[in-house]
Amino acid sequence: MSDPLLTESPAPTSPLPPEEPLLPNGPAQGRALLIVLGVMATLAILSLLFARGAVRLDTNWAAQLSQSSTVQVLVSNEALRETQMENAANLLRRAVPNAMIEALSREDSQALIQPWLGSTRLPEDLPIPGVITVKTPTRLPVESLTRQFEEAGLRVSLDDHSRFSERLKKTVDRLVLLGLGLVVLTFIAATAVSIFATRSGLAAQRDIIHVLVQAGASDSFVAWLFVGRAAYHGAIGAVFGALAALALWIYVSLGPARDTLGWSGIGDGLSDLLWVLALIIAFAAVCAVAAGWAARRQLAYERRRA
Amino acid sequence: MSSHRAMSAPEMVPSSFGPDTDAAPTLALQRVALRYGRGPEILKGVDLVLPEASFTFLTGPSGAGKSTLLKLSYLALKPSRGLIQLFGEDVALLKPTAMQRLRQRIGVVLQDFRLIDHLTVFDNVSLPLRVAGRARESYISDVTELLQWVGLGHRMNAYPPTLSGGEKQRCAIARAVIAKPDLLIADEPTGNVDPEIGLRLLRLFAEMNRMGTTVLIATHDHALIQEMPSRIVNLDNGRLHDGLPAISPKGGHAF
Repeated sequence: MSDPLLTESPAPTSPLPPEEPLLPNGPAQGRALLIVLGVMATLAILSLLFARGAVRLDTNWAAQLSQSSTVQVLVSNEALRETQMENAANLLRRAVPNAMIEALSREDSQALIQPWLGSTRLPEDLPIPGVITVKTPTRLPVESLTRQFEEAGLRVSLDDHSRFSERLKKTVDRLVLLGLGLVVLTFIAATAVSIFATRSGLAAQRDIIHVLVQAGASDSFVAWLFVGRAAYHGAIGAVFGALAALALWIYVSLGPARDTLGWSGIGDGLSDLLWVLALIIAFAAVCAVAAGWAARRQLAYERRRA
Repeated sequence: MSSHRAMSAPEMVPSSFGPDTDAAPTLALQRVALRYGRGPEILKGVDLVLPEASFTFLTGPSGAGKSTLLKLSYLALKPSRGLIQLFGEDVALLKPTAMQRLRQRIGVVLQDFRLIDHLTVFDNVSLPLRVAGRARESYISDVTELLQWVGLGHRMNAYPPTLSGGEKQRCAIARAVIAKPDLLIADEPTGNVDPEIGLRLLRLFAEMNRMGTTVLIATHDHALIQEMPSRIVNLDNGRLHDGLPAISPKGGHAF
């Protein structure tokens, strides 16, 4: 160019810095938001992990319970204990040939009812029910066995733990529902926080938004700026939350609640990790969608008001 | 950017001085009025037609409503009554997407510059291209060339808070013209620059006008008006009065 005025503007010497994001990063606001999102993610992930632990416990216990049953022989006379116990055990061996049958001694049977009777010395002739434990790979045919015991003239009480299993399952189902409810509540809270942060961001960056709109930016363009930021904050908050939750989970699993959270090996930890990963992604996605929705709605409102 | 490369020998005669042209007007205001809230009318039934590729100065005393008229023209405000047609389209009937499309055809220089403080001069100027979805590599040379032309080549990596008033103004002007808008609206564009730079910026506007851009400049600067033989409209007490060109098109100009 031959314009003499150009001489006052030397050519740029330094290379261009990388392109800045259109919205500035507010460190203080960002930190506070990350803390809130992190705490919520911690709660959501802990709820999820405890729900999964409860499901695992239920599965393990139900499997163990379904393979063991207890037969109480209601001994009519202490003198007939040995005979009636022998008859009951033989009947079980015939009816369930592949079962492991163990008849407890009078002392062991008495020990089982000790918690209900206390440490008082019991009379020698008290007819304490005889206990036979039966372990089978499949559930015991309760109805058929009850009939056979009746036909043999034996009074027995057969407990295949199915009632306890059902109650346990119901309890666990409720715990899982509670856990999932907490996750949903946390997601709702994250949505509200993301909407609030987006509205604050729109208000704080009003001048920039005006410039962008004047330059021809669509609502979608502006909304995407907030979507990207919310997804970033959501993901970072969720990662920090996940780290805190996992640390607590591992501590509880290996420490105070060892052997009670249903961990049966490294596979459980890995499957938990996959769930946590999915939750982090879902958390970021929820924040992003909420931000996009809030931004578009606010921009439309501002346009109507103009 | 070919328009800027061609600026070394500008032909400065404006292509139009008034509404008497057969082409569809770029901007047409019919009985446009505006009041803020329940206050008095700032504009009282303004009629204004800017033909395509025209060059118009808008003058008037402070508080006459010049900035308000410009805001209506670049779609930052809606009128209380009256009709505004932009590029042949009734803006009252436009959907948001169509409005956005029209805004991309308008370059605006505001009195307060509205530069984005956390973006460099380069990123501020390239904003309309970035918003339009262009890749950075595709406009680096255009933006760099324009920045050199407006005297900011050495400041392209600087941030607005470190710029002088004049530099900010040139940055804002560069941003307004970088996308080669069909309509350029400027509010006191030379208010903060020395006469030499002001003249140079006016040359930029004139060159854009020569390339087909319709230019509307609100200014108090009579010296600037004297430099450019153009249509002048005067806004006073909310009403618009068409004036005569400052200098006859047959007369010479300062460049």
